[in-house]
Amino acid sequence: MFDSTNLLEPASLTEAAALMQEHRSAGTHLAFIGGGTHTIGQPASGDVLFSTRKLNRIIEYAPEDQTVTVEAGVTVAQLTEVLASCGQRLVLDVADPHRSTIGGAIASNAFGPRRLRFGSLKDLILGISLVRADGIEARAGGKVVKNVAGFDISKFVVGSHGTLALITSATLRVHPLPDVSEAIRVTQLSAGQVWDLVMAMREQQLEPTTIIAVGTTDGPGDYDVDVVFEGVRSGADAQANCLRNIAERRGWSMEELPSDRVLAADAEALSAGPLRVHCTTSPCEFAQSNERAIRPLMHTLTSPVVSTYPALGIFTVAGTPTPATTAELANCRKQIELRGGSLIVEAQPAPHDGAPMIEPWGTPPPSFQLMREIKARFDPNGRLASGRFVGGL
Amino acid sequence: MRTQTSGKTDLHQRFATIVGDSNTISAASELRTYECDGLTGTRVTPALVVLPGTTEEVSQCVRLANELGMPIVARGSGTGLSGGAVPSPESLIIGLSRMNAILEVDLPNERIRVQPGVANLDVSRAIAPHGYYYAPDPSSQSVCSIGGNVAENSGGAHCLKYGFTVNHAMGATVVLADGTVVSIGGPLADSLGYNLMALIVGSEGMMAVVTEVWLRIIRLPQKTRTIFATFPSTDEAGAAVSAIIANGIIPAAIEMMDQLAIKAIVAATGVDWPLDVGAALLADMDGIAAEVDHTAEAAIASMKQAGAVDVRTPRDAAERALMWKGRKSAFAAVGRISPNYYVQDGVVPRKQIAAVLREIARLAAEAGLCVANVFHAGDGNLHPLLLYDARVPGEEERAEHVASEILRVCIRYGGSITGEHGVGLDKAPYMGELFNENDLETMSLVRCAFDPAGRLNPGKVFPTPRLCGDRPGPFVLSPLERLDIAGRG
Repeated sequence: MFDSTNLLEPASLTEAAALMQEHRSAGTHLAFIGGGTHTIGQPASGDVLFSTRKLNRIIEYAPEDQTVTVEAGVTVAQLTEVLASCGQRLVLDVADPHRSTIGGAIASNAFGPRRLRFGSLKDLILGISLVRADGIEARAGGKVVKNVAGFDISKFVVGSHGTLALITSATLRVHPLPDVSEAIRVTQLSAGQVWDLVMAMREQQLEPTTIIAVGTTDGPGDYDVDVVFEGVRSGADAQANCLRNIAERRGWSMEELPSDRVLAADAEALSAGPLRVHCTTSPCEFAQSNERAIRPLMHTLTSPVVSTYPALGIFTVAGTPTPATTAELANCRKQIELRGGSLIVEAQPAPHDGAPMIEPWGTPPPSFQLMREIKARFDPNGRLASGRFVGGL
Repeated sequence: MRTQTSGKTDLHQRFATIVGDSNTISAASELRTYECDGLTGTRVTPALVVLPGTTEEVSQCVRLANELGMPIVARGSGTGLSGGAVPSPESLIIGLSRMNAILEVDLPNERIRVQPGVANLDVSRAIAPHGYYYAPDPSSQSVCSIGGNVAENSGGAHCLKYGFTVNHAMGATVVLADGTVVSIGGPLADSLGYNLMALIVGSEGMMAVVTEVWLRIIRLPQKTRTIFATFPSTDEAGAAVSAIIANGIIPAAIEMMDQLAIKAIVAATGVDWPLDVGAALLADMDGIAAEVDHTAEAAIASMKQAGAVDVRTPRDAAERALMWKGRKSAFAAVGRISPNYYVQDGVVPRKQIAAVLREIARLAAEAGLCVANVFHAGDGNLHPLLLYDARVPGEEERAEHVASEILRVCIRYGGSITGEHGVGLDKAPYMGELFNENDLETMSLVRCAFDPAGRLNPGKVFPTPRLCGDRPGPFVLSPLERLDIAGRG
C-alpha cells in the first residue's frame, strides 16, 4: 500500500522541518505516523510514511508549573517514567504506552477511562509546534496553564489525524500522582443497572476517576463495572465505602481488585480482535444504545468484547468479524447517528477478495464544509494523509 | 466594495424590518452605550445596533450587513476588558442581550443548552436547586454573558481546577460570516471531524456569531473549605502557593491580593481583613469531604510554614460568601481609591510570580505610580492594577507605558500577554512580540476559512490587518471522494 522502503524518520526538529520543505517541493504525499497504534484507514497508494519516532526528546519539564514540553515521538511510557520521578503524571490512558507517542495521541485524540475526571488531550494540551504542508514552522498556545493569546490551534489539531500539519512538539499540563488508587468491581450488571450505578454515585457526589463497564457474553447481566477512586487515603476510602453501600443496598456483588488491573482489563478488551469500533453516544441512553446498536453488532462477532465508559457515553466494541458484520455495522451506525452520535471503525482486518474497506468515519457532521475550507487552507494540494479523515478530508 | 447607504434612516428601516423598530438603535444618544466595552478608554460610535431575538434574525442581519458592506461586531454584555467589542464607525453591532433564554437543562447528561445572552451566573442559578453548577466564574459573572465568555474563553478564580470556557463549551449553533447557520461540535463527548469548538471558543467574535451553546455542567462538590491567610509580603504568599501545589494539592481556587488591593477591598466591602499585612491568599479546597479536610489542613500547614501571619477559615456560609465577594469586587474597590486605573492581564509560569511582582513594583515605582495586585496565583495569571489620575497631565500615558512593559516582562519570563481578558484591540500590538509572523499567519488561515472577507470583528487580535486572498490553490478532491466512497456511511 505504501512505500515502506522510503520511510522518512527525522532525528531532530530541524531535520523534520527540512524534510517537510523538501517534500513540499517534490509534491510528495505524506502520511505521518507515531507508534502506529491509532492509525485509522489505509494510507493511500504512493503515500510516503513520515515517522516521528526519533523525535523523542523531552524538551522542558517544569514540575513546579505542572507543565511538560515534549517532541512528538516521545512515548507515553517514556514520559510517564520521567514525570513519576517528580511525583507527577500525564493523565492519558493508552493501551500500549511503550508504542503510543504523544504526537500520535494528539493527532488521534486518544483517551482512556480517566478522561472522566481529567479530560482528554483537548483539555490537557497548552501549546503546540507544527510544520505545515508548505514547510512553514509555526507554534500556538504557550507553556503556561492559562493563556488566551491568539486562536487555540493547539486544541484544534487534537484529533485531526495528521491531515493538517506535522505535529513536532507539544506542551501539556500534568497532574500530581495520587497518594492512593482504589478499585472496586461490581459484577454482573445489566445495562440498565450500569446506568443506575452511575446515577447513584453522582447522587452521592462521588468523584471516581474511572468508570468502565466491560461486557463479553450476551446474558442479561454481563457487565462488570470497574470503579476507581484516586486521591488521598481518607477520600478514596470514604468513596469506596460509599460505593460498597450503594452496591450492597441493591444486592449487587463486588470484588476488590488492584487498580492497575482496571486499565489492563480495558486495554485487553480493546484488543479482543482485529475489528475495533468506537461509538460516542448520549450517556443517559446507555441502555438503549446497548440494546439497539451495540448488542446486535456483537452478535455478529466471534469472541466480542465491549468496553464502555458509561458516564461519557463511549462504547468500544472489539472482536473478530463474520460475514454478517459489515451489514450489521451499517445498522449499528445508523442507530447511533440517528441519536446524534457517531461510530468510528478504528481498526479492521484487511478485506478478502478485493472487497472494499469499511468506511471508518460515517456521515460527515453539519460543519463539514467549514472543515473542508480549513483543510484547503492548511493543505491546498491534499498531500497530508490524503483522503483518510472524515468525508475524505 | 463598500456601498454607500442612503442615510441612517434608511439603514435603520432596513434592519428594523428584520428585528423590529424597537430593537434597532440608530439615535446618536443611544448608540453611545455601544461605543466601548470594559476597556473604556477606547470609544467608537457604531453605525447601527440591532438586538435580534432569534438565530434566524441574526442570520438575516449578517446577510444584510454583507450586502451593505458593513463590518459586524457581536456583543454580549460589554464587560470585556480588551476592547474586543469596540466597533469601527461603519460597523453593525449585533447585541445578543435579548437572546437570554436557557433552552434545555439536561441533568442526566450533565449539560445545558443556552442562548448567548444568558448571564454566566444565571446558568449556575438555574441548576443549583438540582445540585449542579457551571464552573467558569469570571469576576463579572453576575452580568457577563455566556456568548461573551465563549468569544473570550473566559476563566475566573475556579478555573485552576476546573478549566476555562473551552473545557466546558461542547457545541454551538453559529451564524457564519455569510449568514449561514451551522451547528459546531455538539452535546456529546466528541464530535466527528476537526475540533472546531476549540476555534469558536476564544475566537473573539472573528469566526462566527454564536447563537446557542451547549455547556457541560458539574455536580456540586460534597464539601468546600475556604481559607484566608495573610502574609508579610507577596514573597511569602507566593512561596505558600508554590508549596501547596508542590504538595500535590490542586485547590479549586487560590487568589492573591497585595496590601493596596486588601485596603481597597476592606474600604469598599467592609470585610474585616487586617490592613497591616503585605499580602493575603484566599483559597478554596473542594471535592470529597474527607479529602477536603485533609487537603485543607495540608494547605494551612504549607501556608504557616511559608510564613503566614494569620490563617482563618470562615465560620459559616455567609462569611465565606463575604470573603469571595471581597475578592470578586476588587477591581471596583480599587476604582474607589483611585480616580482611574489601568488593569493588566498577563500570565507567567507559577514559579516566577514573586520575581515578576518585584519587576512590576519596580516599573510602577519608576513611573511614580501605585500598583495594586489581585490575581489568580494558582495559574500565574497576574492582574496588576495601575492607579493614576487622568486629570494629572502625563499620568495616563505613564500608566499605559508601564502596562505595556508588564506584558513584555510576562513574555520574557515565558508567559503570555493575556490569561483571560483576551487580545481584542488592546493587546493586538503585542501579538507580534509573543508570536512570529508564521504563527500569526497560521492563526489567520483558520480565520480565513471561517470569514474570508474579514467581516466579523475586523481589526482585533492581529497586530496588522491581514487579507485572506484567494484560497491557496484549488481544493483537491480526495481519492475516496472522487470515488464517492467517503462520508456516505
